[in-house]
Amino acid sequence: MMMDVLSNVMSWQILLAIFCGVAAGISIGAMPGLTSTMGIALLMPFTFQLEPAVGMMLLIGEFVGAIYGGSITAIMINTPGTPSAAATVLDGYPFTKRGESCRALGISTVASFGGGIISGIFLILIAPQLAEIALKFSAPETFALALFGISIIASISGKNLLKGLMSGVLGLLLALIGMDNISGLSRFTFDTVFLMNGLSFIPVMVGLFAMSQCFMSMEELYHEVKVTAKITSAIPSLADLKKILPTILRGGVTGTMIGIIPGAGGDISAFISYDMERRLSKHPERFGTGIVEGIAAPESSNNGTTGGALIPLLTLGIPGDANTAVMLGALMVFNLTPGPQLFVEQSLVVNTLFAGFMIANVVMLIMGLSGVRIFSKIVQIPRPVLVPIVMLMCVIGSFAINGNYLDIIVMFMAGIFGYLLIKGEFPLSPIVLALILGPMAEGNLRRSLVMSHGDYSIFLSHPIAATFIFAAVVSLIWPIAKHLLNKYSMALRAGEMQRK
Amino acid sequence: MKKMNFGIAIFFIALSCYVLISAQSFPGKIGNVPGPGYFPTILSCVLIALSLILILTSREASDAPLGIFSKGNRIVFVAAGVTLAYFGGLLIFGFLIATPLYLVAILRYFKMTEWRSLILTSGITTAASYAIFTTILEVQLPSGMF
Repeated sequence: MMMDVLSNVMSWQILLAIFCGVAAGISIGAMPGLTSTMGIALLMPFTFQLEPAVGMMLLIGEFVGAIYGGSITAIMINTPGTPSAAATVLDGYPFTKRGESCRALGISTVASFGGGIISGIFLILIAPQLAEIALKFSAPETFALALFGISIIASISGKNLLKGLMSGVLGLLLALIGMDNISGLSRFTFDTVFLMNGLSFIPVMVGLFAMSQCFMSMEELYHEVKVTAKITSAIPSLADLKKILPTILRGGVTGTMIGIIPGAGGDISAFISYDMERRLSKHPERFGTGIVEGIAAPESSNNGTTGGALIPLLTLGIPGDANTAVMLGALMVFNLTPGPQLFVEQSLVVNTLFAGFMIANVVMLIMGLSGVRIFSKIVQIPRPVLVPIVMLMCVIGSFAINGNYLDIIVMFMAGIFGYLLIKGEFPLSPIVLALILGPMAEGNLRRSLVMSHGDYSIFLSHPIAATFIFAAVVSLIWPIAKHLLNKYSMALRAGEMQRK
Repeated sequence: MKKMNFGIAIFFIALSCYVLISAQSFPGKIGNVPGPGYFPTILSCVLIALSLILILTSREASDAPLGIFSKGNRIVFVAAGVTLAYFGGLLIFGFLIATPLYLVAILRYFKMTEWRSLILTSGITTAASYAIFTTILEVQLPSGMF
């Protein structure tokens, strides 16, 4: 097996896919306004004709590269390329102001690499064990798991919980389109063959995450990104490396653990690690003034989430965030149903992905240290040129999957709808999460009830299912309770202020 | 934001009503087990309830316009219109003719004034995407009616 994996991962196709994925990821991540999710959605059409392992490595490479790429603009122009790099701005930009942007970029590259490698080790160690447990799952456990996945909507809804829940229910409704798996009845298909198999994930995702973003970018089309910092070499000094090593270890582990928790992504982990490092520091007052630990902590942590997020995706088929939700769609296109069976039936592909993930981090390190100058140029591509090209990719990508014009229309409608939802501050990730997990939840609920002759207590008599249902209830209710408590305490404080 | 919230909530209520009415034609139960009408009914009721909560809570939201349909935002809708026309062009003329025309039109609208770079950008993008998708990835791109 080991030799097969090595020969697989060292094939020129996979290495090329990793190289292209990481390069595209760094470029996309570095451009403010373009997100890693958008990058994955845009690259997906390029993978349809490729071998599953090659296609997936292109997407994983993009994921790894984009999370790192966000730090480039965070350091150079005080604007995070992705939300994950928001914490990097705090200590990264002061370096640029001092004329030390190359030093900061070098630290960010090494820290991202370290975080990625740590999360890769956890991925390799934990995922197979978790998959082995998940192999024992039957319909009740799978339903409970899907329910838990859907309940994450509450935590990925951002600041507006109600709107997140509405987006999630909309996604669940969209998931109902097509032929019912159990009764064979067509639902909401308008008697068209096109909708019999349900809404195609890819055009919906490309529309929601890429096309809508193009419309958003048009609002600030003539906003130019100017990099004034002088870029030379980004290789960090030995003294800096010694200083950041413990920070990287802590950040990598924290990021991985946070990445495993569905709903918590790189942005949250970066701030948590930054805060943790400041508390542990002997000089907390120096954070925010441009110190190496202030860059290493968020960067190792946000790249740590990449491997962490892949663990529930591959072992349980539960995407923890928008990036892995889009990747789940890609896995399905490749006929690789994520979950424990994947580890049994496609173990070679899974192990190739593990090894490829490690290589992607090495490629990111090399590219980051040697190609910063090129990436800083890419950041400056004018938006009036970039936006039409991205729109064209959206069109080709949607058409390419089935060769059907109607998919382009679906993508376009999802794009317009996504744009309006973004303007209304509705989060988009819950739609995709629900669209993917909805059929899994519905099908397995009904299958479970067929098994128990309609007795709902089947979910309580299966301990794993009961645990997941409990977790789902907590995951759904906790953010709502927290939200209401916050509102109540704010109202209380406002009342007190008025009385004073 | 207030108007936007109202607009989206009303759209969601209308959609839910359609789902709710349609779901009545599906069996709600098959034996002891929920049928295909069960989930649509529950979900549409939940969406109606959430939309009503949004309407009620939005009364306190700011009344500042989001500017979606403002003059300054016209660029989004014109570009969307040009893109929609491009879909028609793809169907009739195919990828190789419709794409450069679309790119020239939209880049020109985005104030790329220099004709040489306009034509070069459109030509190179079309040629590169055609080569990558049809030759390397073996994806069939729209060939048009002719």
